[in-house]
Amino acid sequence: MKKYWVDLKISLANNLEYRGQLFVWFLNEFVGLVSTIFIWTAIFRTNTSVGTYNFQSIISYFILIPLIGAFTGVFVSDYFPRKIKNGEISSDIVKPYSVTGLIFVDTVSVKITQFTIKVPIYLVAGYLLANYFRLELYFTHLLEAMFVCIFSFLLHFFIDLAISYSAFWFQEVWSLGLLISVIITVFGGLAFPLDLVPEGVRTLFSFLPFRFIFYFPIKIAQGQVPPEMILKEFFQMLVWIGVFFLLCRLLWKNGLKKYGAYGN
Amino acid sequence: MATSVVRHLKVYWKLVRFAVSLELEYRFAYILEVFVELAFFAVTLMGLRVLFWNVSEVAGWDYYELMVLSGVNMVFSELLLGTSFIFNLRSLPYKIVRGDLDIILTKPINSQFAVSLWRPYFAMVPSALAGAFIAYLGFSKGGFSFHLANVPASLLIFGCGLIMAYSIGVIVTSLAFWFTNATPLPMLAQQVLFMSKNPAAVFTGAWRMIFMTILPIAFMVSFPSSVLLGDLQLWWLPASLVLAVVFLKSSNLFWNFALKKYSSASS
Amino acid sequence: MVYNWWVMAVVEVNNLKKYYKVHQKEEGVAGSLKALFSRKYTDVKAVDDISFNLDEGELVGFIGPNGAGKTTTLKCLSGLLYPSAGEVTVLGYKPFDRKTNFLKQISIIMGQKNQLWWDLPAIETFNLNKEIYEVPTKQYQETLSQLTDMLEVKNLLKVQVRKLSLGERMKMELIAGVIHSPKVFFLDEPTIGLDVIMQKKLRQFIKDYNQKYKATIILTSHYMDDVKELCKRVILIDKGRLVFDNGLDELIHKVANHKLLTIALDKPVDMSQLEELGEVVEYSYPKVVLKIKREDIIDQSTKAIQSLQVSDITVEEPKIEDVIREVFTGKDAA
Repeated sequence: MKKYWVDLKISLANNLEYRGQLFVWFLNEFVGLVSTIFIWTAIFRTNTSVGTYNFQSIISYFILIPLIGAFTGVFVSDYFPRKIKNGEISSDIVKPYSVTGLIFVDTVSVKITQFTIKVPIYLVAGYLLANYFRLELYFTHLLEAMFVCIFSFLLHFFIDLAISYSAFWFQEVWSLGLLISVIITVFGGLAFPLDLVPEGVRTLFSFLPFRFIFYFPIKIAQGQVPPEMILKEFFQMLVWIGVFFLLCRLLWKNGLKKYGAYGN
Repeated sequence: MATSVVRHLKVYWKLVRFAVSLELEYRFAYILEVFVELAFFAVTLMGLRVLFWNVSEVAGWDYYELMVLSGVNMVFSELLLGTSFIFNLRSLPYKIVRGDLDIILTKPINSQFAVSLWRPYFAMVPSALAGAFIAYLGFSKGGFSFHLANVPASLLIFGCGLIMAYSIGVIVTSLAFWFTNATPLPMLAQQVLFMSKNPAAVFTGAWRMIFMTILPIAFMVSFPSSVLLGDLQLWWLPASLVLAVVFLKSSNLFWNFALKKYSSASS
Repeated sequence: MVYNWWVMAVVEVNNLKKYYKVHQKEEGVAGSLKALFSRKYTDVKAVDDISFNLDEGELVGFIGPNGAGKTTTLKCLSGLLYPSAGEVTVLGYKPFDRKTNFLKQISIIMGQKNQLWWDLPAIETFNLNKEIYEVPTKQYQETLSQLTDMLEVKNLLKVQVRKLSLGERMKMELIAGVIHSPKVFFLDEPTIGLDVIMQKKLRQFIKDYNQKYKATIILTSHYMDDVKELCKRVILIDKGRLVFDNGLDELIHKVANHKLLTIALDKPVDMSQLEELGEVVEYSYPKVVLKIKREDIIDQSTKAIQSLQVSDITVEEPKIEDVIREVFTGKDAA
């Protein structure tokens, strides 16, 4: 257990070095948000409502995206597939701890570092924007959303991990990663709020787990999910987390067999 | 000066042939990339469809006009990414940190050219073509009248817009010389430049001024689309030429300035 | 510019200084947090007042420990770095101006860095360089033919670089580096990471190339064997300063004021007896190696033959490694 704690501390120390990078990523997201605000401002110049949304609610939806994203963002598939391809995990798998556990700890440590920098900035920026656009956001809802976000993070983590483990069989993991991120963009509520689509399409979306990564926590933060609904959806989310967790276990076990077969 | 340009063109032609043979070699990756690009493309169209399930026009543009805009945007972004971003600008911060620039800087070749245009990516071509097709589809379904005279004007503005975008990409990416780690500056440049996917009418007041001068994204996608749709404002033509020249020259000046900083402060 | 024809030395370095700043970071999480807000910078004197000249066709070795300033000096000579002070002139040009005509005449090969396109045959990279350097086709064909003969790689030209062995790749890198017949040629740690056979082949190539094409070559290394086999002239650099600039033989004679006496004994003797003759470097019966001052060598050799029972005796120059180490650690300086 101590091993994980030391690793966490070292990761943190390294990560803080990357202040320049963090700042640029923040700018990146900010520009994206600004662009979106421009579009919707223009749309609402000639429309009073879009679906069930008025100007305030649509803007608050998109402002919440970076904040939720700070919780749920993962990047294991950015670096881990390469380690498998290059045989670099050989030294890790002979050590007396779980490689998955280590990846998890590394991810969490990076997230915590990012939090200490991102979350205050996002909260301040969000507060200023909320004031400027006269948005109605309640602290209690935000807290509920953040709690749910922890599980959204877990879900996203295991999905990303499963993608990374596909590197045992598949060279071009980057394409799979990109494809999944496109799917999450559409079916997760990143490109547009999922309730803007007609009924039929909405039922399709409800069979997929991706709405839990963005759409679900954002709607909670907006206070638009009735309590019974929250419980129902939360339960479904836990099931999906379990599914992907088991998928990862399966992929890891079988992947290692294949890995070893190549004399790694 | 002229012989230098000819020499660089000859070198570029060689590089294009290298890129083609490499992509033929890695056919599978090429096909996957095309697939992914088309997926991105589908998302854009999906977004448009979803929007128009709920509204009937945006900033004075209707569904088919926006379809044309999306198509032109696709061509624009694929060309921009393929020629300069994907294999060149995106890896620059990493090259700086690893000291891989030295090999390039000791060759008698324009360093900005070598760093920003070295390897074109042809996997972008199919989706650029798909974009052109969607623009055509939007045009014909929307029943717009086609005037052949609009095409060269549109192409001129589009070409200048591409040069402006490239120059901005170089300038932003050059900031990497001031960072000690490989910072995702190219992604930031992309994010800023992709604001060009909005029709210029979306921006009002001071912002409109900015997006036609300091950050001329209006010239990249919106104006060329407007011209194709029959709305050409003559001042766009000289303006785009002037801006293209100004931005290109500025990118060169800034690049050299950043290089000098790099050579003074490192070992 | 007008002076080009008049310049006597191919390379002229006058009082070259290169300083740069590094920031210092403290340990641990606290240190990293602090570094987010304020950073301390210190000056590092990578090159601290170096001067030397090279004539056409010279093959010179830059020797020094890691961090001595060798690579930094080379980068100043090739235009990669801007000097903090002093003057550098190569082929009559200021390297940092990076003029096309200057760059066409030089080449730099750095140990671990490659310029060959990995997935293409080596000949493609050569063709690319032909275009970049504007090498006339006839000259290109001739040079290519000569180089591929010298390095025995003619039949590998059309093979993808990634399929070549490390040694073959190294040879191709060399060809890519000199296909445009540079007049001045910098090699930075070229033998690093190579096995003994490849190191020998590389050295042979550099020697042959220097003799055949009369190119001025500067080689940096921290391997003594590179120097021993290649360089008549050696420049020693330590902590950014020039410590020695002359022939290798001079180095040995001037700086190392001792010789080595190797004795093969017939009968074992006491250490004390050996210590009377000179400093005992090695004593594993029957072999004894003694370090004796140059001026005393004849006397002590005679004494050794008289006082000990000796079956064989040899006098040798000290090893270069030891000589150079002594120069840098300041011991036994003349």
